[in-house]
Amino acid sequence: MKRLLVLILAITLVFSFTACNSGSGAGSGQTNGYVGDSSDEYFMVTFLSGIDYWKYCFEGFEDAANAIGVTAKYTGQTDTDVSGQVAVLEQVIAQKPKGIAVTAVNSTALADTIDSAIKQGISVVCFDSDSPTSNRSAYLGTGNYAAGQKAAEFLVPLVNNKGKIAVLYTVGAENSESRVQGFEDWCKQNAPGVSLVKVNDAGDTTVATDNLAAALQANDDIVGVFCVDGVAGTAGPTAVAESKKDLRVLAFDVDVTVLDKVKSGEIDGTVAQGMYNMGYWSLMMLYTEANGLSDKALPGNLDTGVVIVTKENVDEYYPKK
Amino acid sequence: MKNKATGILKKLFSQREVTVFLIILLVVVITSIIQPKFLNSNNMRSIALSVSVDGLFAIGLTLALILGGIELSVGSVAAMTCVITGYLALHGVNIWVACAASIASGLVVGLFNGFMISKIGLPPFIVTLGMENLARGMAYIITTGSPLSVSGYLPQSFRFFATGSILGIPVLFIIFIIISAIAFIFMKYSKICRNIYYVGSNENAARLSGINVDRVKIGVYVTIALISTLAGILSLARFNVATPELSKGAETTAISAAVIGGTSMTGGSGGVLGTVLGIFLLKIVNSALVMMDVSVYWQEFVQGAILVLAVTIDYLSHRKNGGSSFIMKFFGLDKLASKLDTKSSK
Amino acid sequence: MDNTLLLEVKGLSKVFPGTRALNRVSLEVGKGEVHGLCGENGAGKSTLMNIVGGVFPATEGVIKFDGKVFNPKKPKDSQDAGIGFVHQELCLCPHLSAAENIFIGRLPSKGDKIDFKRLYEDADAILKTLDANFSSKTLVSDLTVSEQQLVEIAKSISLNCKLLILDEPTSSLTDKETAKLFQVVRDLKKKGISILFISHRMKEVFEICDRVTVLKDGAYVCCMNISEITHEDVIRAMVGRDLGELYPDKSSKIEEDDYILKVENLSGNGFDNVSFTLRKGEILGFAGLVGAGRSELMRGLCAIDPIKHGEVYLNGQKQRFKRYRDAVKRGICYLTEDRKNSGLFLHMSIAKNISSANLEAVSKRGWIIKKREYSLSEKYVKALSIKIPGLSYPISNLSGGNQQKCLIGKWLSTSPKVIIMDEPTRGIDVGAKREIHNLLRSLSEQGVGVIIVSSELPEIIGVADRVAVMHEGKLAGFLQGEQVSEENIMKLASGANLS
Repeated sequence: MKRLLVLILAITLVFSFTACNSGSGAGSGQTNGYVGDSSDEYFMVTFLSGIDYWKYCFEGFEDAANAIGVTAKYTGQTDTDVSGQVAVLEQVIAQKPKGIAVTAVNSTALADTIDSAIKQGISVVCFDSDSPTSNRSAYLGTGNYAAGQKAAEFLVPLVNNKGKIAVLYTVGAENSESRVQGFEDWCKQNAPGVSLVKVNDAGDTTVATDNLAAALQANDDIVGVFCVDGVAGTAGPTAVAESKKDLRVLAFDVDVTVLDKVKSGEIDGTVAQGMYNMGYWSLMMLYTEANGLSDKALPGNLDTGVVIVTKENVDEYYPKK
Repeated sequence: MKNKATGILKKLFSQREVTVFLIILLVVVITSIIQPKFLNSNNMRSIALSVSVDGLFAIGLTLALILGGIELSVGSVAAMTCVITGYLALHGVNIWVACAASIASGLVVGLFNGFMISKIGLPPFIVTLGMENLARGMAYIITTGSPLSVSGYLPQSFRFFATGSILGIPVLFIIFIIISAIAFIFMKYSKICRNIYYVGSNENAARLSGINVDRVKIGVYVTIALISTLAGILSLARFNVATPELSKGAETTAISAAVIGGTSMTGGSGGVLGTVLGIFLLKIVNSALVMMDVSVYWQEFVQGAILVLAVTIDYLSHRKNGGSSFIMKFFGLDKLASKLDTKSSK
Repeated sequence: MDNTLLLEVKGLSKVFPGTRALNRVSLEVGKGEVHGLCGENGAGKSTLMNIVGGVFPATEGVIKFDGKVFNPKKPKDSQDAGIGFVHQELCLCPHLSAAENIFIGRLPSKGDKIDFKRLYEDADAILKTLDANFSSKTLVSDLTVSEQQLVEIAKSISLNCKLLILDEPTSSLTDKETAKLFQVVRDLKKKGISILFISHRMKEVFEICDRVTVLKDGAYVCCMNISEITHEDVIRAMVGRDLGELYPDKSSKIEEDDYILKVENLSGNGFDNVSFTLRKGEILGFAGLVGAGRSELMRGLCAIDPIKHGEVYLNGQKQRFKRYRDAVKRGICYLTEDRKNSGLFLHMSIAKNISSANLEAVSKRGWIIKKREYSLSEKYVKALSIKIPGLSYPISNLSGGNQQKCLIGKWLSTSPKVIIMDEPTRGIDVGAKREIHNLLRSLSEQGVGVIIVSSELPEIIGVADRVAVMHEGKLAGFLQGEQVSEENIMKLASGANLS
């Protein structure tokens, strides 16, 4: 049932994306440098396929595909289930695309599947969340650890380098955990006066709100909140507002809902990763490798950067209509 | 009457609600000793807010379980109706009209569930599991997956229902208490709801008592869908965001609350008061763990352990032979009772 | 009869918290003997059997089995000693084959694999000795109840049992199947296996048993040789007093032309073109073999199941029932044959059970008034002298007879004009049976139309003033007065003509 639904959703999504794609890239015939064949397919595979985040990635992926004239497709499963992503990936491999850009829900569990794709002659890169133990050609993204450090670099000075900061995140989710680790390590080195209160958002808005509310009650001296993932981005500000406290709040990612909150001043900022670049350069690298356009090895690691979005620059990050 | 006090206490303790209430008391006392801030008004407020939405789901599940069925789509239906209301508001539709539209969609969901279960005769587990995906899928389709920001589109009069307070009590909580009270009174005293118990206890016998079983089933599933719709609309007002990810997994919490509160998984017995206490217990434990600064990595473990403990204590206290004396011993009340008895006999 | 004893129980007592279920009971079963065990519900038969079967230990007393002191701690001990126990509610796995059920837990194997060939051969061999005409490969769910019973017996035999306990084995068998079971019992007896036969039915006890032991209220009453006694002797021992006439007097004032209910050409699933009338003051009995369409007819008549065509007149008025509720409102009610599965709300209170068909009477503007609910229930509990611990206790606490009386009370509260009872005394002990029969008679005298459907011929003959016999969905004929006899009923029921 669930898998069927994922499929239907994926088809709908792909359909809506390819619909806007149909005008361009009608080139046919031989691959010639950076002019591709529209029958060549390149897939982007994610987990939590519903969230806005991937849209920015796919926007870049698709723009690059349009520029070359190949077809870009998007798929993924709606949850963070490891075996679910393996299944989706295997389905994609079965369609024999030219290349796959995948973000790995778990750093090791997908390695075998990725390697099997490569054995079948499909180019694979990882973006956003890496699978370093696999033979993927390259990783594009900002390490979550580094993003966490950047977040600390922004938030800690706002609270004058002392006091408690609540960190609201999904316990057990690898990318959240490494962001928190990065945040924590930066504080240890640069702001010993800051201590962290870790709060589980359990992946559900309501629970996340409850838990942060309780933490805010237990700790009068919390001065700031770092909402590490999408759920936290919605729940965190609600809990802060309900507690009627004035705190510094930093979110992660650039959902419109979060951007609205930055714009209205409800929160102080959000961490934007180079999503568009991840998508754009993923496709470029896949195309380059699949068509043997470079006889030099591709860069194994491409840092796509992190930007803190604040009231000043928030308008640039709204998606184009 | 020689052992009057013991007798009264024994009778009292054979009520499931009393046991759950005592366990809640125990958790509150322990937590407030370790963390005195647990009892301050702000935390009471956040606990009140936390039971409100999940409590609505738990009431819905209570109806389904008493009917001898199950309802796994409450969270998704809330997400769907939340998103429908938000989407319409975002596109300039008056918020109250948008609410009416999402209530209508909730009604359709309830009728569909009820029809498939009663007239077609499919198992409720399958039908509502399917609906869980259908409704959640609908939410994804409408939002194309990501939360819709509706800030600026919801009038304050609408948001008041989830963010306002009257005499310092959150309106959201007041709504929950009102719905609970209505559900409690209807389930206990109304003719219509008595039929839910009959059908849940023995469907064949209910049919052979002249009860229109299909109508009872459809009625229950429609009611549950409407309660979920209310939860969805209130969540929109609370979070100011129409997220398709709303209340994922709310069903398990709701089922736990109902079962802790004494509602049987096999139908025919249970009640709303127990469920309300059950959801309070769950949320208080949750809050207590955060307040006592239990490591996030331990929280889920401790929560599971406490749940198993609560259900075990409850089970032991309802064994046929001498169950209530067990729970009385547990709380040290047996000695008190016998003291009272010896006093009164003198 | 062989003089050596196989099972010897002496001074056996069992105390449960609060009650003494058995009080110094004795029982002796000889080798190769068929021994009856009789007693009303609650007399201690099951407690005694559970102790012998190792389900729970005795509080005091001695059991000797095959000459040795026997002290079973768990069911396996009894099984190993050679006691086979076929429970009233069969305990088989419906989705496994007969063979797998017979050898459950000890399937023959070849290396790591189950040796299916041997399994089926061994099972078939045992079934053959029981004269079973189905393959051991058949799934248990595809077998009839009597065939399933054979599987249970085969299981005990495969365990080399010396004593086979049959607990109410005939309660859900047809007469034919019962006859066949008795043949199996006789064959086993010839092979030297002793049988302990627990039954309510005097006729069967007298047909098959050598001796009978009677228990009452947890105590031993007597042990008698069947050849020296009559039915009445056993019943007197069970009930502890003289019951007088077994059945109430027949009606003296049937009003020939005054119909309460008239059914014309009623057809539906399982019955075809049935017409009959129910006269004022009479009890009309419906007899027939299992599957003759009696229950189906009654359910169709009340609109519980849909009918194809036909008319129903109540007090001369033509009725159109869309659903059962309409029939109830007009005063026709149906009491199910399957009390447990479709009659009782087992875990709900007695009061809630009694009020369930008539919530209108105990509520005001849609709200149930607890006081009214209790006084309504109280009224019928008193009127029908139902023995209950209290109205708020679950109905599952009551004995079968009292449960049935509660159901009758439930329907009387709707002031019915016609009351249809399907198997009115199934699984009910002798004393309570009589009370229910008397009750039906007095209802009939008060002008309520009474129809009973029963597979127990003595009951039909004893209670009904007139008997309608069905055969394969059609009415085979009516019997009245002198004509009513087992022989005539069986003739009509099996499709033969009355000579």
